Amino acid sequence: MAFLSRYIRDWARAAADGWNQFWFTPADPATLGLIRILAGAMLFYTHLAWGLQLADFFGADGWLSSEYARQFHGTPYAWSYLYGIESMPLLWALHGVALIVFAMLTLGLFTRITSALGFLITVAYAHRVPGALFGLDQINALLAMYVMLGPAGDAFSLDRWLSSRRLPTAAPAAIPSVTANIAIRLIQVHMCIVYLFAGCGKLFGETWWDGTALWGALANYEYQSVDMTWLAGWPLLINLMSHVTLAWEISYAALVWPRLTRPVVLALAVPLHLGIAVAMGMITFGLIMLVANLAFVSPQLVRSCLRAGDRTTAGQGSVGQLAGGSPGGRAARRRRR
Amino acid sequence: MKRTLPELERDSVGTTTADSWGPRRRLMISLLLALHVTAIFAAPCAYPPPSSDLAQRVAGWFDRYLFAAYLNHGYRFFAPNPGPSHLVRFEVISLDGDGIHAAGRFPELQDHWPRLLYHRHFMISETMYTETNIPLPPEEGFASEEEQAAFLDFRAAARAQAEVLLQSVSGHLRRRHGGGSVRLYVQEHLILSPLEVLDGVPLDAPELYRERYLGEFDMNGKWTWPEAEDVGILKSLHS
Repeated sequence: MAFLSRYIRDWARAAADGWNQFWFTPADPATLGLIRILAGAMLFYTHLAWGLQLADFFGADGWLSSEYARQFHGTPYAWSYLYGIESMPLLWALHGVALIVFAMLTLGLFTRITSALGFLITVAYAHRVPGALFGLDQINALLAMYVMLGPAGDAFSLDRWLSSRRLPTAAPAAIPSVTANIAIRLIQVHMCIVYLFAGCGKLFGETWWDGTALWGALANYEYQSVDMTWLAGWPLLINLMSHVTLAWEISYAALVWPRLTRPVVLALAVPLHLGIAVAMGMITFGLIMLVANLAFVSPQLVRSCLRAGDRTTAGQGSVGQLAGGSPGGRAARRRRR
Repeated sequence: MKRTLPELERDSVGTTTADSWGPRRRLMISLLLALHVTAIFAAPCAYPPPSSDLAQRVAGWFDRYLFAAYLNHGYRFFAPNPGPSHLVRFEVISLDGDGIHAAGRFPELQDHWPRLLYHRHFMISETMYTETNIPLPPEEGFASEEEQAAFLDFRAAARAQAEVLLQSVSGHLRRRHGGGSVRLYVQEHLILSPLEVLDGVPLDAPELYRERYLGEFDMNGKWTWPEAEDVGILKSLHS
């Protein structure tokens, strides 16, 4: 009995240590900073595209009325400040502000404020046009949320560059922080959930079992952007691609964590999502999924890659400084306190 | 010293403790994290059917949070099977009611650029198919009056929601093209088998399209559904 209670106590302690290590170990904000830039750019582009037909989608006489949007959600909690706006000048003004916020977020300017505003704007737009959304909008929103939660402006940002100009003698690099780790961990966990359910949902479909599912996607005329119907003569290749896609999605949540399998899992994400981007015309969706997968790339690797890129532009200096090589910033001020 | 990729990977989480938190703060944040992760896991468990009562109940606890933060998703991309596409064809009748003032179909690659906007229109046509794909009463009838009443209630609610969407889309088309009443049709574009492609059948062959009349939006903003037996049945366009 004593052995059992000791075993349970040791197990509980190990579980608590594991939990603390997973969530509360300080991490370099480099990966989060890179995700901020790429997700910010995608948010900017997504909303820039909305702007090309702003009245058609968000105007009073648009495709989807506010009445429909509200009824679709069926709850007042699906809020949006864009419901019921009839004035086009007001709508354009709000849209202009949204684009400025996303541009500032991408550049990392006033990041604490612009990341919070960016998340709110993303959700408001999504709630207003529920019938015109797809996976891109879901991943955009989750990335905007986690970028908001972490210190996304502590690396590769104008905030950091401006701080370094104000305090040139301060610390040399961004300090690892718990919030940076929590933000990255949340993206990682959320992506595991996304892939797990994407894979499990496919288990209901017979074409994922008989290996013809990929054909159904590639031979869909409305999705097609590159003609892949030459695969009709290669049925076993279609089978293989279908099975690998399904196996990859289902196993992602387990195999992306061990160091041995992580590079393989992430490497497979590239052809899968680029394939969706190029062959099925969903460039934005394919790219944003790859951006979210970056959460599994270590900050040291991110800095190392960017320094390598920086060396190729030696003398220009800006990337190295934005990468945290420059002194100063919030981290330095925190140290001084 | 130059480090290898696995070495860099090992350093994926920082080792300094400059920003380490105390136990009380960790406990509070742990609770919030546990709640959040439970919520984002419960959402895809519950939202697309089938789902258990338990999953629905747990997701229900977090409904307000999930909706407010736009986290209420199923993530069933291309599931259960990659299926046929759905398009919408429209006719705007001339003001005197004599002929067709304007006609078209969406999504159209030629009309919608960039590709992201094409996709937005594609999602609207898919939503219109889903919202109007309201089940018909079972051919074998109902086992009880209660079952019939429940079905009719469900059908009326589904029609009411679809009607708001159809009115909104029709109204938009009329304002864009001018003219009078608007008729809408949803089309299903079937996918060829590999053998048919090898036989030289094009992906947009006319026999691959089936169509269903959705109804008419009149000048007074009233939506008129077609005869009940027509709803839910797609008819081939190729005679």
